[in-house]
Amino acid sequence: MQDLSRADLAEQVIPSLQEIQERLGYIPREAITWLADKLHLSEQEIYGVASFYNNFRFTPPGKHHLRICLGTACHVQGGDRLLAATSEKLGIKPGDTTSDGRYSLERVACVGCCALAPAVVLDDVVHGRTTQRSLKRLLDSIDREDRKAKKSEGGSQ
Amino acid sequence: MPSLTIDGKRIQFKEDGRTILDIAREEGIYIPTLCDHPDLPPHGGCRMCLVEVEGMKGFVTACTTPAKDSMIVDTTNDALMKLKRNILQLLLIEHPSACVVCAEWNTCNEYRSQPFKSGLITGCSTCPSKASCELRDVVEYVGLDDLGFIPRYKEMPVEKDDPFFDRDYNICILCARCVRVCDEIRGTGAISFAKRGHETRVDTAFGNSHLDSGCWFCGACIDVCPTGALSPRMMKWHGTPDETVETTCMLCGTGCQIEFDVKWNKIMASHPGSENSEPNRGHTCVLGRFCIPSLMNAPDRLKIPTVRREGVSIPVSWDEAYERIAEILNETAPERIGFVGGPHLTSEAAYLLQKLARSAIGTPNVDFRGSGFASLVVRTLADTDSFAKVGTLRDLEKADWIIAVGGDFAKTHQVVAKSCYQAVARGAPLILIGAAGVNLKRWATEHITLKAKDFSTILSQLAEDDEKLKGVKKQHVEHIKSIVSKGKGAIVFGSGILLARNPEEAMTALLKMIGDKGRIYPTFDYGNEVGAIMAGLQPDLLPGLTSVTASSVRKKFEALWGKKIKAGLSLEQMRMAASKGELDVLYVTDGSLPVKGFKKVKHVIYQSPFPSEWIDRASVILPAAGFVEDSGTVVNMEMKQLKLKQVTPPIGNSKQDWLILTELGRQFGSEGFKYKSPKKVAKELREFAKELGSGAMVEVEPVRKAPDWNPAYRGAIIAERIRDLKTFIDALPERERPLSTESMDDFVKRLSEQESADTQVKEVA
Ligand code: SF4
Ligand code: SF4
Ligand code: SF4
Ligand code: FES
Ligand code: FES
Repeated sequence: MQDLSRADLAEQVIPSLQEIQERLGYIPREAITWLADKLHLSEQEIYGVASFYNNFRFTPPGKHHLRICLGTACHVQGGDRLLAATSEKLGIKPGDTTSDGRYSLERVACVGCCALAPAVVLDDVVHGRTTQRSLKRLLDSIDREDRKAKKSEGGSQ
Repeated sequence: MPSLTIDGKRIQFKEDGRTILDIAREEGIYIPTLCDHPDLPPHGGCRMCLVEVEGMKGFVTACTTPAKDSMIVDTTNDALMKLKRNILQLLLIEHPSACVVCAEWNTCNEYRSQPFKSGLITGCSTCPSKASCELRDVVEYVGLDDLGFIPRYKEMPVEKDDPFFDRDYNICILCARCVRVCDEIRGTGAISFAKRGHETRVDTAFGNSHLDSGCWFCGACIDVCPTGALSPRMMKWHGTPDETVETTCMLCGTGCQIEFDVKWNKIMASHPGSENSEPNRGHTCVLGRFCIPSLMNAPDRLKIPTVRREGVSIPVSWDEAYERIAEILNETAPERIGFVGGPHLTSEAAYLLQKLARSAIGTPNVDFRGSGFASLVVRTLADTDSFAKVGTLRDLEKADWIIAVGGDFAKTHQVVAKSCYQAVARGAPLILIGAAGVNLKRWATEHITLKAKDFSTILSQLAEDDEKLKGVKKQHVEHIKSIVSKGKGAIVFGSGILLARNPEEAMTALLKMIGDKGRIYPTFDYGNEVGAIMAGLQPDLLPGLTSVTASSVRKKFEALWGKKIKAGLSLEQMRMAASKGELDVLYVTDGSLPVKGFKKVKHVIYQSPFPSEWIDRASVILPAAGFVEDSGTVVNMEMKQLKLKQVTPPIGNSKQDWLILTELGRQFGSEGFKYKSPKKVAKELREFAKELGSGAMVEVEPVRKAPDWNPAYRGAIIAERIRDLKTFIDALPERERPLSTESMDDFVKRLSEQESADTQVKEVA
């Protein structure tokens, strides 16, 4: 990195964090230290940037990744209550992953389906007009499928 | 000359990028500010400094708007004040506001310099406070008397688990001064803003402790904080000091100016001296910021002279102690007596110690305990007549490139490191040679990882412009050479170069390399090593860096002092003589001198502020004043003479070194000891210093050992006395690691593998 000035190095923080998250699914602690070393900055300087943006996460995503939209349209249609309820049901804050590693929860801003507000994205599939009940049904069905899959896997062994 | 008008006052000024705020400050016009600080680049975050400028749209921030010719500035109109009140109200939502609009305001103001007391009186305990709170000042100026919004107490626990200072982010107003000073001025970045919106706070990565975040406990953040959010744990309960006195710190060779709060004749607190005081300009290291009061007020300071009779140390008067010393010295042959000073004596005391030895007693055996580094530097500079090549810290900040070799200055000389970083931040490339800690490695453009023994080799190669550089790959050689070939250079070096295969060669090479344009910056480990050498506290040198073999000068001294003068034993030679039973009396002023090798000496005279292993063998103990109780001068790493100003009276019955030595000289009936103040001593020394460098240097064997960083002062190992310093020093090795050079691909691969291994373990479990 000898040819880069300190300012140039600082400009690489965000693209590097993006690449790490893309490839690992989240920003592990070690990544902050590693990137600090590479860019000749302190861990705090990297962490400050990473914690500023909601899309960077510090915990590995769960088996199922649940994103709840809090864009303007979704917000007024009750997205915030949906998020609060889901957060309570799963026992985690947005940005975290359940201790069994099954679900991770994230709040996002506008996923581009405002007409379907409030919108929820589960494992990259958008579900519109979500209510607390429909979301519960959705999660229950996923739990059931997973259990079945596990059983057949166990049985085949 | 351009001029502008502020609040109707016409002011002439030079258009040089200074802001409206700068000009107003110079003119004594108060514009409230919260995020701006004279030490920091403008930030423009708090909007408290808004002003109206005729012809400019809306209001502008005075701290970021450059002053221009014929501007008409208004700082106080109604619309402005109303806006400021609104902004403040918003800001105060996140500041427990009981304080700023409290009904007890008036009572509190009377007592607020004593938060503890005011707390009891007013029933308030929200702020650890300082005698002054900038936020309160602004509230008062703007005239806010209600809050307007319901405050939001963040309920964050006060952080008290790190050494030296407490952090209560509940009352932080997010002005970013601490973050900026740590990052942009000190180059450490131990703290930053984390999260955003309502959750924004000052934090470390993942909420780590400051010990883990790379903090050096320099205290710069505390000094710029406008609220009570950051406060030094041991220095906040004393209330309004009776007076504050600025003097020179002697704990390392930087010579920082430190301001002490004095109350009841004791030092209560220390802060960096004024922003205008050289060399440190408002900054210090962990020692100067936090350690001096506890050190100087230590309960075990030596306070009464004692004399050993029949194996027992008995308290005596000063006169009795002097008589006993005279008895001991008179019954001993002069050549069997040795005087060993220390690097923490003032120049005046060092001068008097060697004068006492050489003139009153008639022994040539004088030396002091040092690292040998100062000896190497000063002698080489004198030999080559290059004192002018030594730069000031101000010069260092303007350097075009820097070589750092032989020390981890970010740890041992934090103020020098700050100046280095200022140059680096301006774009000066730093070439680091040898091992160092994380800060220097981050700042470095090139890091040449060499063993210390090869320092002389690489410095010579650089000086001679060799094709090759030891330990450096070819393409880097070109880069390094292109860096050092341009502009004003700076070579910052420390006692680590004593470990080079040939320290003299290293020293000569770096002088040659720096040429006439650049400057060198030797980082001495102790307060006044240079001054002690210049004062003649050396077996082979007379005052003024003159060799004892230079007969014309020597004869002058001989005539003056009435004794024959010759080269004496160096410290190491004295130790050798002592172990062979050829040295009977040792006069020691530095408890940090190891006793080893001196066990056979019959009498020890020990003069120091602190006890040490010497007191068990001392025939006479003389309690000396600490440097804050002394006056005189020292010579710092910039080769500048700095003043020591007495802050408090000597503790107990102790006396200043210069006074003890003067009275002792008189005890020997010596004519030359009539000084009434250290100024008279300094004057005499100055006369001799005119002869500076007039005579060939004699080689004495330097002590070839770079000291570990374990700061000590005259027998007091500071970390053994101040627990927080020990916690800090003990945590340092863990912070040291090579900077990672792994590529993104390798890193990602390693992490994924690690993770899948982890999950497998989990599933098996
Ligand atoms: S004490 Fe110094 S290094 Fe530590 S956070 Fe404050 S400014 Fe930074
Ligand atoms: S801790 Fe003090 S200096 Fe730092 S942001 Fe808060 S108020 Fe400002
Ligand atoms: S850098 Fe040296 S002189 Fe300055 S405060 Fe620290 S120990 Fe004292
Ligand atoms: S606001 Fe939720 S999808 Fe647009
Ligand atoms: S002082 Fe100007 S914006 Fe804070």
